[in-house]
Amino acid sequence: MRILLIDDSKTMRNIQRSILTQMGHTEIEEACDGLDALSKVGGFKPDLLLVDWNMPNMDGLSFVKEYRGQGNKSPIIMVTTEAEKSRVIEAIKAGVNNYVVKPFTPDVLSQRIEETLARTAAA
Amino acid sequence: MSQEIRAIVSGDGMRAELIVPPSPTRSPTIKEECLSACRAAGIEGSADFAARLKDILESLDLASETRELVAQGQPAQHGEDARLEWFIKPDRGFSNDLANDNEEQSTNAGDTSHYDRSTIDVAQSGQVIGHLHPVKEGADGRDVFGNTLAAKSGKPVHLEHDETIERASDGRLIAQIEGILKAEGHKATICEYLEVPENVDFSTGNIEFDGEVRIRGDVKDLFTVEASGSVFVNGLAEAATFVCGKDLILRGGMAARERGSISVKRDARVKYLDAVKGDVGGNLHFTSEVINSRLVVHGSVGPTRGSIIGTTLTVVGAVRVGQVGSTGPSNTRIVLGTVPKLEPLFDEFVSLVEQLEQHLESVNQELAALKTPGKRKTHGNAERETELTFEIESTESRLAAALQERDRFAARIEELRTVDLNVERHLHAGAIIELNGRAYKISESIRGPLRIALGAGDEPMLFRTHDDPGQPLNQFTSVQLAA
Repeated sequence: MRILLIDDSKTMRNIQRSILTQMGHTEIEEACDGLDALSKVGGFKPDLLLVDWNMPNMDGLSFVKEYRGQGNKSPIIMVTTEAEKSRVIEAIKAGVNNYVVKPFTPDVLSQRIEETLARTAAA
Repeated sequence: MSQEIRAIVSGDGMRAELIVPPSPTRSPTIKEECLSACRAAGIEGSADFAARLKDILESLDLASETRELVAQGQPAQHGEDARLEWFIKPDRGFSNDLANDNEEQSTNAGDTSHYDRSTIDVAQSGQVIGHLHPVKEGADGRDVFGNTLAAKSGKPVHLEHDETIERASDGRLIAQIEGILKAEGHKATICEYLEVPENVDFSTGNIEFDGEVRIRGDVKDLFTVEASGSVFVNGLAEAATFVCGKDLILRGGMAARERGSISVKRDARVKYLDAVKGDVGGNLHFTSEVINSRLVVHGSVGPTRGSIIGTTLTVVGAVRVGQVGSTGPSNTRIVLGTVPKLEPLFDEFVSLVEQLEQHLESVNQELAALKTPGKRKTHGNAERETELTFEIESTESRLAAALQERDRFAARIEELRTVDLNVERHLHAGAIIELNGRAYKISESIRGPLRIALGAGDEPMLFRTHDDPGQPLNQFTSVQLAA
């Protein structure tokens, strides 16, 4: 399974990568903002995307809209500090499949990833 | 003088010349006359002969005598003997030839170490070590009379070899194991052990061998013998260096003059060791003495009636010797109850645990500060909180692993740690027994048999006999903290 991590914080990407590696995932690509991610999705063709909201150049929400606009169906988990209900609804409307609020623990992130993948497989 | 056409054949029958005398007119039967002269000389009428005769007749100048080669024989091509060619130097017992080769190299060698000039070639498994060139067949020749000149056949070479050498269909000889090529006459094999029939010196150079090494003579000053297997030395070892992957057997002992060393993975069995530095992975057994040496033995020492004098011996297992120290002043020290292989690793884990605990404490403090009630939850704080949570989890997991390893090493050290010194004859005054971080210096010589071991509460005790309840060691010694 190919997983794309989109976050402007290298540390955060490392944490996510480490959790994914412990879960047994090895095909992992990273992008530092929405624009960088858009340039990579064509070649990498991710099966799952973990997206931060607040990033320079292109934020996570704009990326999700653009990505879905291109007809891509892979599940997206928004991993963000934006915890307000209205923001969560906005993200889900834009095409996000699941939501993890920072600060999170490794257990919470891995649980959300498993949930999302199970739901996608069942659909 | 005859003016007839003639043919003359050389003594070996390989050349024939046609001689046509000068004549005012060309005879209409000149060809027949020439043929007749050649037949009379016995020359075979081959195609080559006919072509040559035709050329002679066409270019014939009757004004002067013509003398031309009209027939030539074909010498026999003799066959070639089969030939055995070795690409690595076979071991034939370090003959004078080898010694001379070495001398020659030394002369041309500039500043390269003469000790490194090994004369021993080691065959690697799969290496092409030689070639058996087959007999080359010859071809018969013919003389001008048409007689066959028989070619001599080449002689074959019969090579006898075992399964350590494979002979390919093209004659290549391929080593099937790693070792020394032994080739004598028509027999060849590869030996898994290296035998040095004389001394290890400038005629052999340093020995480095993947296998067992047997040295019939001495090992001279400053030479190195390194083997992945055991090393046997029948003669005396001088100030040499031994590195053995298995056992070291020095039947003649070792006089190292503080410049020789031994590093042995398994057991060392020696006659004596004098001024040797070394590390023995297994047990040390000596028959006469260990003097003025510094040794670490990871197994046990003895049993032997021999003596340990002027030596610092660090030993993991039991010691059973005849005598420790001497009547004269000697710096003899036996370090007991230590496990030198494991203790540095244990110390590393102790230090790692400390570092991880400190780090964990500082990360926990930072996280607690972020979570202080009333503290504003910025995006940055939320991200940092995630990072710290992850850091705590990962540090805790590393700490748990480090603690487990530390405790495993501690248990293993405790299991291996032995305090068991048995002296059959004399434990001399001045000898130091080091254990539990203390140095016990023997005040007055004690006659054996005696045993030093730990009593109740880990107190070092001296026992005279098997049934002796023992007396505290410090009653016989002055005690200081070990250096």
